[in-house]
Amino acid sequence: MTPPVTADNHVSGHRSASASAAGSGSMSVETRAARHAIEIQGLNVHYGKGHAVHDLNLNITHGEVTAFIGPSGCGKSTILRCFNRMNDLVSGCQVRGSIKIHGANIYDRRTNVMELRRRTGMVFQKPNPFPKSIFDNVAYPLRIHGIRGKAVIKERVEKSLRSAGLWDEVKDRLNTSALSLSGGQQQRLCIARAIAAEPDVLLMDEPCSALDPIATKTVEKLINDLSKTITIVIVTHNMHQAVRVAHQTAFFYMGRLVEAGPTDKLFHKPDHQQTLAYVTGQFG
Amino acid sequence: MSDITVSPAPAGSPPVNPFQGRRPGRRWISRAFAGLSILATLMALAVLFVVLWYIGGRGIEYMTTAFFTNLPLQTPEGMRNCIIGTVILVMLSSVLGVPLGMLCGIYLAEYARKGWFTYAARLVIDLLAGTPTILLGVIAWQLVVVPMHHQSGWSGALALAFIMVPIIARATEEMLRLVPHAHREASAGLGASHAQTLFRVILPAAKAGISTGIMLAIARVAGETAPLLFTALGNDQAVYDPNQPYPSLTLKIWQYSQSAEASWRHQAWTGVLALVSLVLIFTAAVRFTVREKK
Ligand SMILES: Nc1ncnc2c1ncn2[C@@H]1O[C@H](COP(=O)(O)OP(=O)(O)OP(=O)(O)O)[C@@H](O)[C@H]1O
Ligand SMILES: [Mg+2]
Repeated sequence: MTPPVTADNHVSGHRSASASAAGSGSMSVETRAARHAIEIQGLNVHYGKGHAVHDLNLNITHGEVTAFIGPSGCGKSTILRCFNRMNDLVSGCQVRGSIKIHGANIYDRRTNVMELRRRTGMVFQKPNPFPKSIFDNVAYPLRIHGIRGKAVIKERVEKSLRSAGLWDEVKDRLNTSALSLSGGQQQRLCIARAIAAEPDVLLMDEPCSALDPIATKTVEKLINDLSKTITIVIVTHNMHQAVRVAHQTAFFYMGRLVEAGPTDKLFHKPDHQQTLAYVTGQFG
Repeated sequence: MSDITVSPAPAGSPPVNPFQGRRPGRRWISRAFAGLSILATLMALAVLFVVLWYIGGRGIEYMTTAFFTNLPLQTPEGMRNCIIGTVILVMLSSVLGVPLGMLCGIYLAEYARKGWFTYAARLVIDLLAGTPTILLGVIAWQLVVVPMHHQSGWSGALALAFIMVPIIARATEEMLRLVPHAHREASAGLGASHAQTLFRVILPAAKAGISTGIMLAIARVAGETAPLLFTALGNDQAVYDPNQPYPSLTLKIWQYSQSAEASWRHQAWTGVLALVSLVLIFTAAVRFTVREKK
Protein backbone atom coordinates (compact mmCIF):
# COMPACT_ATOMS: atom_id res chain seq x y z
CA MET A 1 0.00 0.00 0.00
CA THR A 2 2.99 2.31 0.33
CA PRO A 3 3.35 4.56 -2.67
CA PRO A 4 6.73 5.19 -4.23
CA VAL A 5 8.12 8.56 -3.33
CA THR A 6 9.72 10.23 -6.25
CA ALA A 7 12.74 12.48 -5.99
CA ASP A 8 12.24 15.84 -4.33
CA ASN A 9 8.88 17.17 -3.39
CA HIS A 10 9.47 20.86 -3.63
CA VAL A 11 6.60 22.40 -1.82
CA SER A 12 7.80 25.72 -3.07
CA GLY A 13 7.61 24.48 -6.65
CA HIS A 14 3.90 25.14 -6.66
CA ARG A 15 3.88 28.43 -4.86
CA SER A 16 0.98 30.66 -5.62
CA ALA A 17 1.65 33.84 -7.54
CA SER A 18 0.52 36.08 -4.71
CA ALA A 19 3.06 34.62 -2.33
CA SER A 20 6.02 35.03 -4.66
CA ALA A 21 4.99 38.58 -5.44
CA ALA A 22 6.01 39.41 -1.89
CA GLY A 23 9.64 38.61 -2.74
CA SER A 24 11.93 40.98 -4.52
CA GLY A 25 11.85 41.15 -8.29
CA SER A 26 15.08 39.40 -9.17
CA MET A 27 15.22 35.65 -8.63
CA SER A 28 18.88 35.00 -8.02
CA VAL A 29 20.01 31.59 -6.80
CA GLU A 30 20.58 33.10 -3.40
CA THR A 31 17.05 34.36 -2.84
CA ARG A 32 15.65 31.10 -4.11
CA ALA A 33 17.58 29.23 -1.46
CA ALA A 34 16.58 31.75 1.19
CA ARG A 35 12.93 31.01 0.52
CA HIS A 36 13.34 27.58 2.01
CA ALA A 37 13.14 27.85 5.76
CA ILE A 38 13.53 24.11 6.22
CA GLU A 39 15.18 21.74 3.75
CA ILE A 40 14.91 18.05 4.51
CA GLN A 41 16.99 15.53 2.62
CA GLY A 42 17.00 11.76 2.98
CA LEU A 43 15.52 11.86 6.46
CA ASN A 44 15.14 8.50 8.16
CA VAL A 45 14.06 8.10 11.76
CA HIS A 46 14.18 4.88 13.75
CA TYR A 47 12.82 4.20 17.22
CA GLY A 48 14.92 1.22 18.17
CA LYS A 49 14.02 -1.26 15.42
CA GLY A 50 10.89 0.59 14.34
CA HIS A 51 11.33 2.61 11.17
CA ALA A 52 9.11 5.66 11.75
CA VAL A 53 10.12 7.94 8.86
CA HIS A 54 11.29 6.69 5.45
CA ASP A 55 13.53 8.69 3.09
CA LEU A 56 11.83 12.01 3.46
CA ASN A 57 12.70 14.83 1.07
CA LEU A 58 10.77 18.02 1.56
CA ASN A 59 11.29 21.75 1.49
CA ILE A 60 9.28 24.08 3.64
CA THR A 61 8.92 27.60 2.43
CA HIS A 62 9.89 30.58 4.48
CA GLY A 63 7.06 32.78 5.72
CA GLU A 64 4.32 30.30 4.94
CA VAL A 65 2.12 27.91 6.85
CA THR A 66 2.64 24.26 6.03
CA ALA A 67 0.21 21.66 7.31
CA PHE A 68 1.17 18.03 7.95
CA ILE A 69 -1.76 15.68 7.59
CA GLY A 70 -2.09 11.93 7.67
CA PRO A 71 -3.56 9.12 9.73
CA SER A 72 -2.54 8.58 13.34
CA GLY A 73 0.90 7.04 13.75
CA CYS A 74 2.14 8.02 10.29
CA GLY A 75 5.07 9.97 11.71
CA LYS A 76 3.94 13.59 11.69
CA SER A 77 4.99 14.33 15.23
CA THR A 78 8.24 12.49 14.74
CA ILE A 79 9.18 14.63 11.75
CA LEU A 80 8.16 17.81 13.53
CA ARG A 81 10.28 16.87 16.50
CA CYS A 82 13.31 16.51 14.26
CA PHE A 83 13.15 20.19 13.37
CA ASN A 84 14.18 21.28 16.85
CA ARG A 85 16.00 18.07 17.71
CA MET A 86 13.58 17.12 20.45
CA ASN A 87 14.17 13.52 19.42
CA ASP A 88 17.63 13.84 20.98
CA LEU A 89 15.85 13.41 24.30
CA VAL A 90 14.24 10.14 23.29
CA SER A 91 16.58 7.26 24.02
CA GLY A 92 16.76 4.82 21.15
CA CYS A 93 15.67 7.38 18.60
CA GLN A 94 18.02 7.61 15.61
CA VAL A 95 17.84 10.36 13.05
CA ARG A 96 19.72 10.10 9.74
CA GLY A 97 19.74 12.46 6.81
CA SER A 98 20.06 16.20 6.71
CA ILE A 99 17.79 18.97 7.85
CA LYS A 100 18.77 22.53 7.08
CA ILE A 101 17.03 25.43 8.74
CA HIS A 102 17.85 28.78 7.15
CA GLY A 103 20.68 27.04 5.36
CA ALA A 104 22.40 25.54 8.40
CA ASN A 105 22.45 21.81 8.95
CA ILE A 106 20.93 21.41 12.39
CA TYR A 107 22.28 17.90 12.86
CA ASP A 108 25.80 19.23 12.40
CA ARG A 109 28.05 18.68 15.40
CA ARG A 110 28.66 22.41 15.81
CA THR A 111 24.97 23.27 16.10
CA ASN A 112 24.06 25.01 19.32
CA VAL A 113 20.94 23.02 20.12
CA MET A 114 19.74 25.49 22.75
CA GLU A 115 19.90 28.36 20.29
CA LEU A 116 18.17 26.21 17.66
CA ARG A 117 15.32 25.49 20.06
CA ARG A 118 15.01 29.10 21.11
CA ARG A 119 14.54 30.11 17.50
CA THR A 120 12.27 27.14 16.76
CA GLY A 121 9.29 27.34 19.07
CA MET A 122 7.23 24.23 19.64
CA VAL A 123 3.69 23.59 20.81
CA PHE A 124 3.41 19.99 21.89
CA GLN A 125 0.59 17.59 21.15
CA LYS A 126 -0.32 17.41 24.84
CA PRO A 127 -0.41 20.64 26.85
CA ASN A 128 2.65 20.68 29.12
CA PRO A 129 2.62 23.78 31.32
CA PHE A 130 5.15 23.94 34.13
CA PRO A 131 3.84 23.63 37.68
CA LYS A 132 4.42 27.36 38.08
CA SER A 133 2.20 30.41 37.94
CA ILE A 134 0.61 31.46 34.67
CA PHE A 135 2.91 34.48 34.49
CA ASP A 136 6.06 32.48 35.22
CA ASN A 137 5.17 29.96 32.53
CA VAL A 138 5.16 32.59 29.82
CA ALA A 139 8.10 34.48 31.33
CA TYR A 140 10.18 31.29 31.47
CA PRO A 141 11.63 31.39 27.94
CA LEU A 142 12.44 35.09 28.37
CA ARG A 143 14.23 34.56 31.66
CA ILE A 144 16.30 31.61 30.54
CA HIS A 145 17.49 33.63 27.58
CA GLY A 146 18.77 36.38 29.80
CA ILE A 147 16.03 38.97 29.61
CA ARG A 148 16.02 40.60 33.04
CA GLY A 149 13.98 43.81 32.86
CA LYS A 150 10.76 43.37 34.82
CA ALA A 151 8.86 45.80 32.60
CA VAL A 152 10.05 44.13 29.39
CA ILE A 153 9.08 40.70 30.66
CA LYS A 154 5.67 41.92 31.77
CA GLU A 155 5.00 43.52 28.43
CA ARG A 156 6.08 40.45 26.45
CA VAL A 157 4.04 38.13 28.66
CA GLU A 158 0.94 40.21 28.12
CA LYS A 159 1.53 40.43 24.39
CA SER A 160 2.00 36.66 24.08
CA LEU A 161 -1.07 35.90 26.18
CA ARG A 162 -3.13 38.31 24.11
CA SER A 163 -1.96 36.70 20.87
CA ALA A 164 -2.89 33.28 22.17
CA GLY A 165 -6.33 34.60 23.10
CA LEU A 166 -5.92 33.87 26.78
CA TRP A 167 -5.29 37.30 28.26
CA ASP A 168 -8.87 38.21 29.09
CA GLU A 169 -9.42 34.92 30.88
CA VAL A 170 -6.30 35.05 33.04
CA LYS A 171 -5.35 38.69 33.47
CA ASP A 172 -6.74 38.75 37.01
CA ARG A 173 -5.11 35.52 38.10
CA LEU A 174 -1.63 35.65 36.58
CA ASN A 175 -0.11 34.42 39.84
CA THR A 176 -2.24 31.31 40.21
CA SER A 177 -0.89 27.95 39.18
CA ALA A 178 -1.04 27.12 35.48
CA LEU A 179 -2.29 23.68 36.47
CA SER A 180 -5.56 25.23 37.60
CA LEU A 181 -6.40 26.12 33.99
CA SER A 182 -8.65 23.96 31.87
CA GLY A 183 -7.11 21.72 29.22
CA GLY A 184 -7.84 24.15 26.41
CA GLN A 185 -6.56 27.10 28.43
CA GLN A 186 -3.39 25.17 29.21
CA GLN A 187 -2.83 24.57 25.51
CA ARG A 188 -3.23 28.27 24.75
CA LEU A 189 -0.83 29.02 27.59
CA CYS A 190 1.69 26.72 25.93
CA ILE A 191 1.17 28.57 22.68
CA ALA A 192 1.80 31.89 24.44
CA ARG A 193 4.93 30.43 25.99
CA ALA A 194 6.16 29.15 22.65
CA ILE A 195 5.85 32.53 20.96
CA ALA A 196 7.12 34.63 23.88
CA ALA A 197 10.75 34.33 22.81
CA GLU A 198 9.80 35.35 19.27
CA PRO A 199 10.98 32.31 17.30
CA ASP A 200 11.56 32.37 13.51
CA VAL A 201 9.97 28.97 13.07
CA LEU A 202 6.94 27.73 14.97
CA LEU A 203 6.16 24.02 15.14
CA MET A 204 2.63 23.23 16.27
CA ASP A 205 1.58 19.67 16.94
CA GLU A 206 -2.22 19.55 16.85
CA PRO A 207 -2.50 22.82 18.78
CA CYS A 208 -6.27 22.97 18.51
CA SER A 209 -7.25 19.39 19.32
CA ALA A 210 -8.43 20.41 22.80
CA LEU A 211 -9.91 23.78 21.89
CA ASP A 212 -13.48 24.91 21.38
CA PRO A 213 -14.43 26.58 18.08
CA ILE A 214 -13.91 30.10 19.43
CA ALA A 215 -10.46 29.40 20.85
CA THR A 216 -9.61 27.55 17.64
CA LYS A 217 -10.52 30.63 15.70
CA THR A 218 -8.25 32.74 17.87
CA VAL A 219 -5.36 30.37 17.35
CA GLU A 220 -5.96 30.28 13.61
CA LYS A 221 -5.96 34.06 13.54
CA LEU A 222 -2.68 34.00 15.45
CA ILE A 223 -1.23 31.57 12.93
CA ASN A 224 -2.37 33.85 10.17
CA ASP A 225 -0.80 36.92 11.78
CA LEU A 226 2.45 35.21 12.64
CA SER A 227 2.83 33.69 9.19
CA LYS A 228 3.50 37.13 7.80
CA THR A 229 6.85 37.12 9.52
CA ILE A 230 7.71 33.57 10.51
CA THR A 231 7.50 30.03 9.18
CA ILE A 232 4.88 27.77 10.70
CA VAL A 233 4.48 24.03 10.47
CA ILE A 234 1.24 22.70 11.89
CA VAL A 235 0.15 19.12 12.36
CA THR A 236 -3.60 18.74 12.20
CA HIS A 237 -6.26 16.09 11.93
CA ASN A 238 -8.80 18.70 11.00
CA MET A 239 -9.00 18.98 7.18
CA HIS A 240 -10.99 22.19 7.39
CA GLN A 241 -8.32 23.72 9.54
CA ALA A 242 -5.63 22.76 7.05
CA VAL A 243 -7.66 24.41 4.29
CA ARG A 244 -8.24 27.51 6.39
CA VAL A 245 -4.70 28.17 7.59
CA ALA A 246 -2.16 26.39 5.41
CA HIS A 247 -0.57 27.63 2.22
CA GLN A 248 1.05 24.26 1.68
CA THR A 249 0.03 20.81 2.80
CA ALA A 250 1.98 17.59 3.05
CA PHE A 251 0.23 14.25 3.30
CA PHE A 252 2.01 11.38 5.03
CA TYR A 253 1.13 7.74 5.17
CA MET A 254 2.95 5.06 7.16
CA GLY A 255 6.12 7.03 7.58
CA ARG A 256 6.34 8.19 3.97
CA LEU A 257 5.50 11.42 2.27
CA VAL A 258 2.81 10.70 -0.27
CA GLU A 259 2.30 14.12 -1.66
CA ALA A 260 3.02 17.76 -0.89
CA GLY A 261 1.89 20.93 -2.57
CA PRO A 262 -0.34 23.97 -2.31
CA THR A 263 -3.27 23.23 -0.05
CA ASP A 264 -5.81 23.98 -2.78
CA LYS A 265 -4.31 21.52 -5.17
CA LEU A 266 -3.82 18.81 -2.58
CA PHE A 267 -7.41 18.95 -1.49
CA HIS A 268 -9.03 19.27 -4.89
CA LYS A 269 -6.72 17.86 -7.53
CA PRO A 270 -4.18 15.64 -5.76
CA ASP A 271 -1.77 13.59 -7.84
CA HIS A 272 -2.32 10.47 -5.81
CA GLN A 273 -5.50 8.50 -5.39
CA GLN A 274 -4.55 7.84 -1.77
CA THR A 275 -4.43 11.53 -0.96
CA LEU A 276 -7.85 12.05 -2.44
CA ALA A 277 -9.23 9.16 -0.44
CA TYR A 278 -7.78 10.60 2.78
CA VAL A 279 -8.83 14.21 2.33
CA THR A 280 -12.33 13.19 1.36
CA GLY A 281 -12.58 11.08 4.49
CA GLN A 282 -12.69 7.67 2.83
CA PHE A 283 -9.95 6.27 5.09
CA GLY A 284 -7.69 7.31 7.95
CA MET B 1 -32.26 6.15 49.28
CA SER B 2 -32.01 8.73 46.54
CA ASP B 3 -34.18 11.72 46.01
CA ILE B 4 -34.11 11.57 42.24
CA THR B 5 -37.67 11.25 41.02
CA VAL B 6 -38.12 8.59 38.41
CA SER B 7 -40.96 8.97 35.99
CA PRO B 8 -43.47 6.19 36.47
CA ALA B 9 -42.93 3.12 34.39
CA PRO B 10 -45.41 2.55 31.60
CA ALA B 11 -48.43 0.70 32.78
CA GLY B 12 -48.24 -3.02 32.42
CA SER B 13 -44.52 -3.47 32.98
CA PRO B 14 -43.20 -3.96 36.52
CA PRO B 15 -41.16 -1.02 37.88
CA VAL B 16 -37.48 -1.83 37.35
CA ASN B 17 -34.47 0.20 38.42
CA PRO B 18 -31.90 -0.56 35.73
CA PHE B 19 -29.01 0.33 38.08
CA GLN B 20 -29.98 -2.20 40.72
CA GLY B 21 -28.75 -5.67 41.41
CA ARG B 22 -25.78 -5.88 39.08
CA ARG B 23 -23.14 -7.89 40.95
CA PRO B 24 -23.68 -6.47 44.44
CA GLY B 25 -20.61 -8.44 45.63
CA ARG B 26 -18.29 -5.86 44.12
CA ARG B 27 -19.58 -3.19 46.43
CA TRP B 28 -19.01 -5.39 49.49
CA ILE B 29 -15.46 -6.22 48.46
CA SER B 30 -14.69 -2.57 48.04
CA ARG B 31 -16.26 -1.71 51.41
CA ALA B 32 -14.40 -4.52 53.15
CA PHE B 33 -11.13 -3.31 51.70
CA ALA B 34 -11.72 0.27 52.79
CA GLY B 35 -12.58 -1.03 56.26
CA LEU B 36 -9.36 -3.06 56.44
CA SER B 37 -7.15 -0.16 55.49
CA ILE B 38 -8.83 2.11 58.01
CA LEU B 39 -8.34 -0.55 60.67
CA ALA B 40 -4.64 -0.90 59.86
CA THR B 41 -4.18 2.87 60.06
CA LEU B 42 -5.92 3.01 63.41
CA MET B 43 -3.68 0.25 64.75
CA ALA B 44 -0.53 2.05 63.67
CA LEU B 45 -1.81 5.25 65.23
CA ALA B 46 -2.70 3.42 68.43
CA VAL B 47 0.84 2.07 68.82
CA LEU B 48 2.30 5.51 68.22
CA PHE B 49 -0.14 7.03 70.66
CA VAL B 50 0.68 4.51 73.40
CA VAL B 51 4.40 5.16 73.00
CA LEU B 52 3.95 8.92 73.05
CA TRP B 53 1.59 8.69 76.00
CA TYR B 54 4.06 6.62 77.97
CA ILE B 55 7.07 8.80 77.14
CA GLY B 56 5.08 11.95 77.71
CA GLY B 57 3.77 10.71 81.04
CA ARG B 58 7.11 9.59 82.43
CA GLY B 59 8.98 12.53 80.91
CA ILE B 60 6.69 15.20 82.27
CA GLU B 61 6.63 13.57 85.69
CA TYR B 62 10.32 14.27 86.18
CA MET B 63 10.59 17.45 84.18
CA THR B 64 11.94 20.51 85.98
CA THR B 65 13.19 23.88 84.79
CA ALA B 66 16.62 22.81 85.99
CA PHE B 67 16.55 20.10 83.32
CA PHE B 68 16.77 22.80 80.65
CA THR B 69 19.06 25.22 82.48
CA ASN B 70 21.61 23.10 84.33
CA LEU B 71 24.46 20.80 83.40
CA PRO B 72 24.62 17.08 84.32
CA LEU B 73 27.01 17.51 87.25
CA GLN B 74 25.23 20.47 88.83
CA THR B 75 22.54 20.12 91.48
CA PRO B 76 19.76 20.01 90.60
CA GLU B 77 21.03 18.24 87.55
CA GLY B 78 20.00 19.05 83.97
CA MET B 79 20.83 18.34 80.33
CA ARG B 80 21.12 21.81 78.85
CA ASN B 81 24.45 21.10 77.15
CA CYS B 82 23.19 17.80 75.74
CA ILE B 83 20.16 19.41 74.11
CA ILE B 84 22.28 22.14 72.55
CA GLY B 85 24.95 19.58 71.63
CA THR B 86 22.49 17.38 69.75
CA VAL B 87 21.08 20.35 67.87
CA ILE B 88 24.56 21.49 66.80
CA LEU B 89 25.70 17.96 65.96
CA VAL B 90 22.69 17.43 63.73
CA MET B 91 23.26 20.82 62.09
CA LEU B 92 26.92 20.05 61.42
CA SER B 93 26.07 16.67 59.93
CA SER B 94 23.34 18.28 57.80
CA VAL B 95 25.75 20.86 56.42
CA LEU B 96 27.84 17.95 55.22
CA GLY B 97 25.22 15.31 54.49
CA VAL B 98 22.40 17.28 52.83
CA PRO B 99 24.38 18.79 49.93
CA LEU B 100 26.37 15.61 49.43
CA GLY B 101 23.25 13.44 49.41
CA MET B 102 21.38 15.79 47.10
CA LEU B 103 24.29 16.00 44.67
CA CYS B 104 24.51 12.20 44.59
CA GLY B 105 20.78 11.95 43.94
CA ILE B 106 20.92 14.62 41.22
CA TYR B 107 23.82 12.83 39.58
CA LEU B 108 22.04 9.48 39.62
CA ALA B 109 18.75 10.85 38.32
CA GLU B 110 19.97 13.42 35.80
CA TYR B 111 23.48 12.73 34.62
CA ALA B 112 24.32 9.08 35.20
CA ARG B 113 24.76 7.00 32.05
CA LYS B 114 24.49 3.25 32.13
CA GLY B 115 27.89 1.81 33.01
CA TRP B 116 30.10 0.40 35.69
CA PHE B 117 30.50 3.71 37.51
CA THR B 118 26.78 4.31 37.92
CA TYR B 119 26.30 0.70 38.88
CA ALA B 120 29.02 0.97 41.51
CA ALA B 121 27.66 4.27 42.84
CA ARG B 122 24.17 2.83 43.29
CA LEU B 123 25.59 -0.26 44.94
CA VAL B 124 27.67 1.76 47.39
CA ILE B 125 24.70 3.96 48.28
CA ASP B 126 22.46 0.95 48.85
CA LEU B 127 25.16 -0.72 50.93
CA LEU B 128 25.61 2.43 52.96
CA ALA B 129 21.86 2.62 53.57
CA GLY B 130 21.83 -0.96 54.80
CA THR B 131 24.98 -0.77 56.95
CA PRO B 132 24.39 -0.90 60.71
CA THR B 133 24.99 2.62 61.91
CA ILE B 134 27.52 1.54 64.49
CA LEU B 135 29.79 0.50 61.62
CA LEU B 136 29.49 3.99 60.12
CA GLY B 137 30.62 5.20 63.53
CA VAL B 138 33.67 2.94 63.25
CA ILE B 139 34.51 4.42 59.86
CA ALA B 140 34.22 7.97 61.21
CA TRP B 141 36.35 6.92 64.17
CA GLN B 142 39.04 5.56 61.83
CA LEU B 143 38.94 8.67 59.64
CA VAL B 144 38.83 11.37 62.32
CA VAL B 145 39.36 10.08 65.83
CA VAL B 146 42.48 8.06 65.05
CA PRO B 147 44.37 10.91 63.33
CA MET B 148 43.21 13.44 65.99
CA HIS B 149 44.06 11.04 68.84
CA HIS B 150 40.84 11.93 70.66
CA GLN B 151 37.06 11.89 70.24
CA SER B 152 35.37 14.99 68.90
CA GLY B 153 32.21 16.65 67.63
CA TRP B 154 33.59 16.51 64.10
CA SER B 155 33.86 12.74 64.13
CA GLY B 156 30.31 12.45 65.48
CA ALA B 157 28.97 14.79 62.83
CA LEU B 158 30.79 12.82 60.13
CA ALA B 159 29.30 9.55 61.36
CA LEU B 160 25.81 11.08 61.29
CA ALA B 161 26.46 12.53 57.81
CA PHE B 162 27.32 9.02 56.58
CA ILE B 163 23.86 7.96 57.69
CA MET B 164 22.16 10.89 55.99
CA VAL B 165 23.82 10.67 52.59
CA PRO B 166 22.22 7.46 51.30
CA ILE B 167 18.77 8.39 52.61
CA ILE B 168 18.86 11.81 51.00
CA ALA B 169 20.49 10.57 47.79
CA ARG B 170 17.79 7.96 47.28
CA ALA B 171 14.96 10.36 48.15
CA THR B 172 16.33 13.00 45.79
CA GLU B 173 16.77 10.50 42.96
CA GLU B 174 13.28 9.08 43.37
CA MET B 175 11.67 12.51 43.54
CA LEU B 176 13.51 13.79 40.48
CA ARG B 177 12.45 10.72 38.55
CA LEU B 178 8.84 11.37 39.48
CA VAL B 179 8.86 14.75 37.71
CA PRO B 180 6.98 14.17 34.44
CA HIS B 181 9.08 13.89 31.31
CA ALA B 182 6.78 16.47 29.71
CA HIS B 183 8.28 19.18 31.95
CA ARG B 184 11.77 18.41 30.72
CA GLU B 185 10.59 18.41 27.11
CA ALA B 186 8.77 21.69 27.56
CA SER B 187 11.82 23.33 29.06
CA ALA B 188 14.29 21.88 26.55
CA GLY B 189 11.93 22.84 23.73
CA LEU B 190 12.18 26.46 24.79
CA GLY B 191 15.96 26.36 24.55
CA ALA B 192 16.88 25.82 28.20
CA SER B 193 20.15 24.15 29.06
CA HIS B 194 20.11 21.01 31.15
CA ALA B 195 21.21 22.99 34.21
CA GLN B 196 18.50 25.62 33.68
CA THR B 197 15.88 22.90 33.35
CA LEU B 198 17.19 21.25 36.50
CA PHE B 199 17.28 24.37 38.66
CA ARG B 200 14.21 26.18 37.36
CA VAL B 201 11.80 23.33 36.62
CA ILE B 202 12.81 19.92 37.93
CA LEU B 203 14.10 20.79 41.39
CA PRO B 204 11.21 23.19 42.19
CA ALA B 205 8.76 20.51 41.09
CA ALA B 206 10.44 17.93 43.32
CA LYS B 207 10.97 20.36 46.21
CA ALA B 208 8.28 19.01 48.53
CA GLY B 209 9.37 15.40 48.13
CA ILE B 210 13.05 16.13 48.54
CA SER B 211 12.52 18.20 51.67
CA THR B 212 10.44 15.40 53.15
CA GLY B 213 13.38 13.07 52.50
CA ILE B 214 15.80 15.51 54.12
CA MET B 215 13.49 15.93 57.07
CA LEU B 216 13.27 12.16 57.57
CA ALA B 217 17.04 11.86 57.41
CA ILE B 218 17.51 14.62 59.98
CA ALA B 219 14.91 13.15 62.29
CA ARG B 220 16.59 9.82 61.89
CA VAL B 221 20.08 10.95 62.85
CA ALA B 222 18.78 13.07 65.71
CA GLY B 223 17.85 9.81 67.41
CA GLU B 224 21.08 7.92 66.67
CA THR B 225 23.19 6.75 69.59
CA ALA B 226 25.41 3.91 68.43
CA PRO B 227 27.56 5.81 65.91
CA LEU B 228 28.26 8.52 68.52
CA LEU B 229 29.52 6.12 71.19
CA PHE B 230 33.16 6.27 70.17
CA THR B 231 33.07 9.41 68.05
CA ALA B 232 31.29 12.25 69.88
CA LEU B 233 31.72 10.33 73.12
CA GLY B 234 29.64 12.76 75.20
CA ASN B 235 30.61 15.64 77.45
CA ASP B 236 29.26 16.80 80.80
CA GLN B 237 30.48 20.37 80.33
CA ALA B 238 28.96 23.11 78.22
CA VAL B 239 31.60 22.56 75.54
CA TYR B 240 30.44 23.25 71.99
CA ASP B 241 33.79 23.26 70.21
CA PRO B 242 33.61 20.40 67.67
CA ASN B 243 37.29 19.67 68.23
CA GLN B 244 36.40 18.43 71.72
CA PRO B 245 34.37 15.42 72.83
CA TYR B 246 30.80 16.52 72.31
CA PRO B 247 27.66 16.46 74.46
CA SER B 248 24.70 14.61 72.99
CA LEU B 249 21.20 13.96 74.26
CA THR B 250 21.03 10.41 72.98
CA LEU B 251 24.35 9.46 74.56
CA LYS B 252 23.23 10.90 77.87
CA ILE B 253 19.87 9.09 77.71
CA TRP B 254 21.65 5.85 76.97
CA GLN B 255 24.14 6.38 79.77
CA TYR B 256 21.52 7.34 82.37
CA SER B 257 19.04 4.65 81.37
CA GLN B 258 21.58 2.03 82.42
CA SER B 259 22.32 3.63 85.72
CA ALA B 260 21.33 2.21 89.10
CA GLU B 261 20.53 5.70 90.33
CA ALA B 262 16.76 6.33 90.17
CA SER B 263 17.10 10.10 89.63
CA TRP B 264 19.32 9.46 86.57
CA ARG B 265 16.81 7.03 85.10
CA HIS B 266 14.14 9.64 85.62
CA GLN B 267 16.32 12.20 83.85
CA ALA B 268 16.63 9.76 80.96
CA TRP B 269 12.83 9.75 80.53
CA THR B 270 12.72 13.51 80.41
CA GLY B 271 15.58 13.40 77.92
CA VAL B 272 13.56 11.10 75.66
CA LEU B 273 10.62 13.47 75.85
CA ALA B 274 12.87 16.41 74.99
CA LEU B 275 14.28 14.55 71.98
CA VAL B 276 10.87 13.54 70.67
CA SER B 277 9.61 17.10 71.10
CA LEU B 278 12.63 18.50 69.25
CA VAL B 279 12.00 16.20 66.31
CA LEU B 280 8.27 16.92 66.28
CA ILE B 281 8.75 20.68 66.38
CA PHE B 282 11.35 20.50 63.63
CA THR B 283 9.18 18.28 61.44
CA ALA B 284 6.16 20.51 61.87
CA ALA B 285 8.23 23.60 61.06
CA VAL B 286 9.56 22.06 57.84
CA ARG B 287 6.13 20.88 56.77
CA PHE B 288 4.76 24.34 57.42
CA THR B 289 7.41 26.11 55.35
CA VAL B 290 7.35 23.80 52.31
CA ARG B 291 3.62 23.18 52.25
CA GLU B 292 2.00 23.44 48.85
CA LYS B 293 0.78 26.93 48.13
CA LYS B 294 -2.91 27.09 47.46
N1 LIG C 1 9.08 7.48 21.81
C1 LIG C 1 8.77 6.53 20.91
N2 LIG C 1 9.28 5.29 21.05
C2 LIG C 1 9.00 4.32 20.15
N3 LIG C 1 8.22 4.50 19.07
C3 LIG C 1 7.67 5.72 18.88
C4 LIG C 1 7.91 6.80 19.79
N4 LIG C 1 7.25 7.88 19.35
C5 LIG C 1 6.62 7.49 18.24
N5 LIG C 1 6.87 6.20 17.93
C6 LIG C 1 6.35 5.45 16.77
O1 LIG C 1 6.64 6.18 15.60
C7 LIG C 1 5.54 6.17 14.72
C8 LIG C 1 5.13 7.58 14.38
O2 LIG C 1 4.66 8.21 15.55
P1 LIG C 1 4.23 9.74 15.59
O3 LIG C 1 4.01 10.12 17.00
O4 LIG C 1 5.19 10.53 14.83
O5 LIG C 1 2.83 9.67 14.82
P2 LIG C 1 1.81 10.86 14.48
O6 LIG C 1 1.69 10.91 13.02
O7 LIG C 1 2.20 12.09 15.18
O8 LIG C 1 0.47 10.28 15.10
P3 LIG C 1 -0.74 11.07 15.82
O9 LIG C 1 -1.52 11.70 14.76
O10 LIG C 1 -1.50 9.99 16.51
O11 LIG C 1 -0.12 12.04 16.77
C9 LIG C 1 4.42 5.38 15.40
O12 LIG C 1 4.38 4.12 14.85
C10 LIG C 1 4.85 5.33 16.84
O13 LIG C 1 4.46 4.11 17.40
MG1 LIG D 1 1.43 13.16 16.80
